Amino acid sequence: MENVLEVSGLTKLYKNGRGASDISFELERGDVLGILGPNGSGKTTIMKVICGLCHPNSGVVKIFGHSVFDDYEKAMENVGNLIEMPALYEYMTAQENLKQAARLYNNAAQEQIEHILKVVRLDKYKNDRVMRFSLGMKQRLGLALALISEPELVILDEPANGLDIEGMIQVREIVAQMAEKKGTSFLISSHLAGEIEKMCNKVAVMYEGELLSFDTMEQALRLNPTLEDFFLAKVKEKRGKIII
Amino acid sequence: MNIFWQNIKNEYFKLAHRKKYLIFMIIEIVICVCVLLIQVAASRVMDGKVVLQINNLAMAMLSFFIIIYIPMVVFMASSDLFSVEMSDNSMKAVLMRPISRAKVFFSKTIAVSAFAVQYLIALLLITTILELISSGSGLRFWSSLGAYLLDIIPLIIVVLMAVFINQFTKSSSLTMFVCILIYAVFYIVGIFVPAASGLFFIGYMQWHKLWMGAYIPLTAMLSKIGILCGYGLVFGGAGFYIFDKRDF
Repeated sequence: MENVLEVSGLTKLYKNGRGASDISFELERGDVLGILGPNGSGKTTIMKVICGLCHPNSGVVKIFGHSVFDDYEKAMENVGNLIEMPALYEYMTAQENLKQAARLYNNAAQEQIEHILKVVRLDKYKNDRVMRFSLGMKQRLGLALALISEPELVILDEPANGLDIEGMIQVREIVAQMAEKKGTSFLISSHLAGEIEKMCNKVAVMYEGELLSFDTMEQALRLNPTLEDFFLAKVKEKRGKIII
Repeated sequence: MNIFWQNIKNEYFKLAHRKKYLIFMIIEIVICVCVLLIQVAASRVMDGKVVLQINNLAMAMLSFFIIIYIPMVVFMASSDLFSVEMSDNSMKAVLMRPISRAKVFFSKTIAVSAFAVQYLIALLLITTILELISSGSGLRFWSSLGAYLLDIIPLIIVVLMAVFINQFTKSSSLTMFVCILIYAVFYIVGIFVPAASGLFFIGYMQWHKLWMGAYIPLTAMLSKIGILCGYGLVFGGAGFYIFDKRDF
């Protein structure tokens, strides 16, 4: 299988000592990899470095064989991102936000904007200014911005943030559909084990800036009834003591 | 190159979306009309006749706008595209796209410059139209156009200075304050210490006055061009360096 994303020996430490250290993993075409970890475990840091928002202390990140640090434009050509809160221009409408993003891709036309607005169910509100949107609507628009270029790799940091039950199910459906039909690869971070378990076919556990494990979902659930149990087992292993 | 051009358009549209800049443009027009009306009123009072004496309105207005008004717009626009976007997180919207940081930085800078030039063009057009209406003569248009074009050069250095200052803080109000403070200090020092004014780029804001005399001292001009280029390189280079090294 073709490697879509290669992360090797990646370390990014902030001045306060937090961050992530010596992270290595690979993502193959069509994979949906979930990074599971508590708040502050380094998930967002890793994603920020992969997207070129942060400079690492050391390590290599390659997307479709192009280094993010040396050949950023080529590396990001087929990547869609939603990191932390969606980055939106609140004084613009949903459609104008999408147009801003679409201009930076040759293949994203007006029809694609209309289509993606329908996919995230914001077509009724396309001419409303983002400042009037609820948290969930902003999150859905952030998802639309990540998918506007029909990317081959999508990086989603806590995609369920602010979404209601229907919204969360919708995200799951979009992910499953794109992975199955188009072979799109996903890198999804969450602190919700249930979300990762339902969406992903591979799982990486992060804790205190370290990557504790990288397994297929099948392997992770072989000895554990749920992903939550798998996570707790890995953390227990790391701590060497019983978690209550 | 295409993506660079597309992002210049994006950045320009972002500024154009903000209504305050339209209001500033309207204020610019109102100021020009008011000055014209004051001149008309003054000529009536002094001569007792309805005689309009417009003494090259385009050039008279240029001095005020290029030194005070347009730099304020530049400070605001650069703050909107840099420090405001850093503080409200929207900078990531473009940084996560397939465009290098160099292209992001310089496309934003060009958009601010284009926005400032737009104010100059509007000023030239409105003053020329007012002159045509009031005196029926537009003969000075071409010399005015030359002066306006020449003043774009120091204006771009002001843009680069503002962009450079924007790299140090995410607070738009603090950025505005520092920009105005530095600009004012340089300007005032230039007035009270004329020997030093040649070293400050703000002393060249009325750059056209140096070029539009009967005699152009070429050797002296070369050093002034060098000073402006130096400021441009320092502000542009240092600003980009900080922007490129920043974690978002």
